[in-house]
Amino acid sequence: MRALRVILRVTLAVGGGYAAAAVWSAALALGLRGSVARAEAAVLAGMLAFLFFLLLLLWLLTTPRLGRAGLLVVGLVLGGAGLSRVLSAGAWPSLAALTRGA
Amino acid sequence: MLGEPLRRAWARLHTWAGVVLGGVLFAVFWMGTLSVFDHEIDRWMMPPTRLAAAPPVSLDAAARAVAALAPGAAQWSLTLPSARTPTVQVRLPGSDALLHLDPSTFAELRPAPTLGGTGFIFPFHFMLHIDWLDLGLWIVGLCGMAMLVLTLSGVLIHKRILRDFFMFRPRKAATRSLLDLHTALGVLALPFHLVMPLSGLVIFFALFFPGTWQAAFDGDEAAFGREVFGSYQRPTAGAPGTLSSLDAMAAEAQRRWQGGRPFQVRLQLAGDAASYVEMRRAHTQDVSMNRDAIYFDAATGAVLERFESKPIGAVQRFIAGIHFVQFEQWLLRWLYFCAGLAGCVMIATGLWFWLESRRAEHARRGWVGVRLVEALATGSVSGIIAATLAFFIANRCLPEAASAWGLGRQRLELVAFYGVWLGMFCHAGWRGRAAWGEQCAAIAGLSCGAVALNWITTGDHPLRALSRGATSVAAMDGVLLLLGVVCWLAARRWRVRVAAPEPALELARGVVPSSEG
Repeated sequence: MRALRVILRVTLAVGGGYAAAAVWSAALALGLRGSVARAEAAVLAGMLAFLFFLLLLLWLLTTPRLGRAGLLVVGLVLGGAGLSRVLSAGAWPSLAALTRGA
Repeated sequence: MLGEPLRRAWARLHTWAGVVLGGVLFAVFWMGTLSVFDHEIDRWMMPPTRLAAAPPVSLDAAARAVAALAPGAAQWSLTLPSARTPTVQVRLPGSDALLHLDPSTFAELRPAPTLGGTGFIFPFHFMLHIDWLDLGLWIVGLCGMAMLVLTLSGVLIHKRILRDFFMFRPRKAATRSLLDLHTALGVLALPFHLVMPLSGLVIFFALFFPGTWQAAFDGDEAAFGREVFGSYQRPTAGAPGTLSSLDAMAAEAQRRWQGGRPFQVRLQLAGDAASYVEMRRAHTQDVSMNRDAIYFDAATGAVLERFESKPIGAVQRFIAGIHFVQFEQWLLRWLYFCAGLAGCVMIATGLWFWLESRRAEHARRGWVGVRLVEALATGSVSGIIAATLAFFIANRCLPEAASAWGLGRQRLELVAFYGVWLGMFCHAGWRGRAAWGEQCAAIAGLSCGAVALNWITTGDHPLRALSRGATSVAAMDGVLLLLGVVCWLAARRWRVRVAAPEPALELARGVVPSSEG
């Protein structure tokens, strides 16, 4: 049982953390497209993705509440994927437009 | 302040991530440390390229030499000599091999076939020579993330990290002195241990997080390459073309870069009217590994396109430059090397500490954990060092036309590396605790043997190499001799320890080191 929990935790941290970082960095790249050149958006999002992944890894590998963490990761992945989809469809204003609006 | 339960969780993470990935991490760190001097290793492994500092090279003369070497080649590239590589290096289509030309005469230098430091050690560092599905890159990427996790968790588990940094007690029990050394080296090179894995990961952001560029460029990979890396292409014209003066193009590039020199010249679509020349700016004088490039029309010398990274791209290139250490700053280069070695020793002492602190308990309970980890750790640490030395020795021993089992000389050097490495794993599994000392003794013998073989086969003993300006060869010999002495001393000390085993301290299993007193 303990081994299973360890496997679950590592899978959740590495797989789930990576997936969350990947979808949110893609969403960030899409969101930044209107504010900066698309090359800059891709590079910045790509670099920040590692920091986000690292934070998730550290938290997921040490949190005592694995179930709650798992739910949050699933939420992060689905939320990020949904946001990416909305942004790529152009149905959501870019960050630049939001900033201008403010 | 962290609570005790959280500190224990971090300690468990630090311990187990280190034990599971320590072996691969050591291999990556060891090869990365050697890669700091990969060009110098090339000089050692390719004796005909041990030339004095190169004179200024005429690109037009170099182009004529390349045309004579490969008449009708549709494309070629040449890299100009530098302080670290005093030859003109030419790459021709259809061949992975790099040709070396004497910069004074443009005669082809013919070192015996070898991958050398740049062809074997450097790629091993970032992809373990596992090409399939980029698996090697992904494994090293995972190790990079693990290194960051290990470093941060290593900091967080210490209540008083500064006090621990000054606490090295070599005469105490093995477990205590190993842990002290592990901590001291971890703290001493802490910025290095954080920056290296992070910068290594950032270099490959497009591979590890492809969603970023796919999202930003709607999946258009060519546009991504063009806008981020400055790649330029144009179609063939189908009519014959000429090549105007490359020296004039280089002068124009230097003017536009305000003194920056080109280091690499690439001719595309040679002989066609649409032929063009790419000149890449040298990054030996900057930390940043810039991607500045100017494209010229080959026939007229007119500038077609100029690429410079935008601000965020320039930051990424700066971070890459910190990792690649291609700038010509010898003191910094040696500091990188020492910090890399400190990282290797830190990983090795971490593994040793785990083994020594559990040895007695595992033996009492009849568990095989220590024996298994010990075999893997010994093979990963001393085994890969011995394998690297076998690679060097094979380079000095194998005749130029050597071949066996259908493999050429270049491949036989790799057979020596992997064969010795596998042998070291087997030896470690067979000899157990004694293997550390025995492999250290083997390393001492192999490193001295490599120096002696270099002397015998080339006549370059360290003093002669130094006197004729081949400092890279003398330095490599010096480092090998030093490695030999250190490993001989380590082997002697290890023999004493094995002869008189001490009671194991129960320091591990998530116990916070600084709380042990």
